[in-house]
Amino acid sequence: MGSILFSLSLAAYTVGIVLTILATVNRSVAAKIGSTIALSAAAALQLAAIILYVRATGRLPMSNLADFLMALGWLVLVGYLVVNARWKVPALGMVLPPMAFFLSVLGIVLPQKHSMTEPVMASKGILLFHTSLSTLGMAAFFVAAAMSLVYVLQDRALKRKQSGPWLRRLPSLHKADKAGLEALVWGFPLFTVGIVTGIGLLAMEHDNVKLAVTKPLFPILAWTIFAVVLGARLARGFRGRKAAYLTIAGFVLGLLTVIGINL
Amino acid sequence: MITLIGVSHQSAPVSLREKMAYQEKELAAGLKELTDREKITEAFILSTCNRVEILARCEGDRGVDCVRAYLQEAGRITSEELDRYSYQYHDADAVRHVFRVASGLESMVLGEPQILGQLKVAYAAARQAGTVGPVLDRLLRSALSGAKKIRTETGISRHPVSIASAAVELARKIFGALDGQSALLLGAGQMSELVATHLRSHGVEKIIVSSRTYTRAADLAEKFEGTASNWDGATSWLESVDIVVSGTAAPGIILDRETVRKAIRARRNRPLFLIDIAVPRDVDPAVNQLDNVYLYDVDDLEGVVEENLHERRKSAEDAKRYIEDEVTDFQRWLESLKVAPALVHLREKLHGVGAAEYSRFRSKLGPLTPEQELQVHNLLRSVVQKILHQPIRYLKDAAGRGEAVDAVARYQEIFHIRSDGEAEAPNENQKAGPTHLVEGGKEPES
Repeated sequence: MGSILFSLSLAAYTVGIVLTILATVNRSVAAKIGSTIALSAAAALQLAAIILYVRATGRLPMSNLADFLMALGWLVLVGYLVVNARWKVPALGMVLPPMAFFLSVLGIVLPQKHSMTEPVMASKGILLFHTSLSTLGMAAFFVAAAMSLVYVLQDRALKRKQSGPWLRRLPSLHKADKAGLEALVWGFPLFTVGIVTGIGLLAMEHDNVKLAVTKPLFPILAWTIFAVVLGARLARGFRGRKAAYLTIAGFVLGLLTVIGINL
Repeated sequence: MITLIGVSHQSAPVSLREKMAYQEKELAAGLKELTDREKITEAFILSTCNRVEILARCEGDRGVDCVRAYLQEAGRITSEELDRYSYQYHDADAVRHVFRVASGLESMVLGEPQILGQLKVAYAAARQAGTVGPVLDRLLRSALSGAKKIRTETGISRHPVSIASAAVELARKIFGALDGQSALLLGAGQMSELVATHLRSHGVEKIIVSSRTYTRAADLAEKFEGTASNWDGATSWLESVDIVVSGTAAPGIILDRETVRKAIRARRNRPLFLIDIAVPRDVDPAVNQLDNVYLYDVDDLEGVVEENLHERRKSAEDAKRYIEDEVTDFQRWLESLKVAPALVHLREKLHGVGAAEYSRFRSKLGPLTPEQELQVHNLLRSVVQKILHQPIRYLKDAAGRGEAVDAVARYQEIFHIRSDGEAEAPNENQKAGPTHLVEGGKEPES
């Protein structure tokens, strides 16, 4: 049943992505509505499949790399649907749903190994809390990074006086900046709590606080980048291309970290 | 026959166009004069600053002469001018031209949308004057709805093609909606005013005008309900406004990189859009290298306009394909009109035969109850309808292929229907019979 739902969700993804491309290229209202329906259906089917999977295996939905990527794919898709409903950024449809699809496919094809839910871990509750918040935070950063990428492309086009059918479909700098900042504001506290609980789990596992703080160097580095960007943006009005580049760098570092932990 | 005679910015000088142009109050009389002519059954006049066109439905090939004669007699154009400056289209070409005009493909600014509004007004005037009949009414309605569809599907009007509107488009790429934004005009020249007018109409709320001559700044500021500023204090506005339009006659740079850099710092990196429409340029080009500053000079804006024009030309190619489909549909409908009378007459003829035969055999059937009589009538009607089905389909298909005239002629010959539509006299056996079997309310000749 679960695999049927996964297959159906991938089919809905495919239809949704094709319609999103059509809607963006032809500005077709019918395709736009169709893409929203298809991608919402994909999200619903994927959620149902994940729930069935958790019930069947008794494992957390983010207990290894494959599961994590599957959950991240679903969250990225939901993130896109939310951002598009709020900010009306159809151009994002060219990036996020295909990425969500790719992550979900990876989640299906990668081998199910190295479960973090082994009894080594002291507390499954804290682990669930940690992985859930970290994944949610990463999904929000995914959206922030995508908006930053869109910002960089639009900024570059404006600076270089470039135009063209694709660049015309990009949102304004203001919209890309605001939506990216909003995603960052949502993602940062989630990621922060995720990091803190992760350190707590390591300390419990190794019974060594010093090791627990120094071992996750890359997650802390990624967190520091986000903290600096967000702090500077909110307190000092830091914005623009450099802020966008830093957001993308923080996201890439964060993603590599999470993948590294799960490998 | 549908005929169109006109002059436009492409074919005639403005002196001739203004001579031919109709004031709004003259339209009704002009339309009436046209349809009063013997061979003109429907008429429509489109009169704008760029074109004057008369669209008419005429009887026979001589109708076009009537339109020409009307134009000459009304003193609007001489025969020589007509030959030299006007264009004439007939039937499918006339239909195509109407669609092209409605879609903005014939406009001075390719794809401009104003023509659609002008066409609507002219259509309303013709309807009010009662000079559009079934054919022109259908054509104009199709052109209006087709043009809307073309604009939506091809996006031909989407890309701005003037310097001022290109500046607005760029501002929207930076700020999104311009509601609540503010702009500073450096210099109070015509071009600055034009750009400011566009910005204002797109939501820019506050306009500050600064000029070396304060009174000019004050006059222009008053126009936009804005604020006039002393020239010396103009740069201080850089810290608060979102858009700067610079169009002074200064011989050199008036905004250098350092001034803008300081302003950006004071603005806490809020983006600043600088539009330099002055020649020689007012703003140091190096300003564009600063983060969150976007500088466009006249050449850059013209580049945007040129690119947008290129996009419009591409859209026009798509529009032409849509138009060809629309023309084909309309021509098909027009052809179907030719077979309609033949269809009516054929029905009448066959139902007439049925009625006559019923009448002939009625006495042999003996006494019938009203229900039985009704059943016999229904039987006859059903047989006739079944027989008619294939010929009707054939006629309609022939109309679709543009062979209506030949097909109708064949039917007239086969079924002995005269060209005026009257069925030829039935034979002795068909004489008399109940008329309630005849569709179309026409009794067969007796």
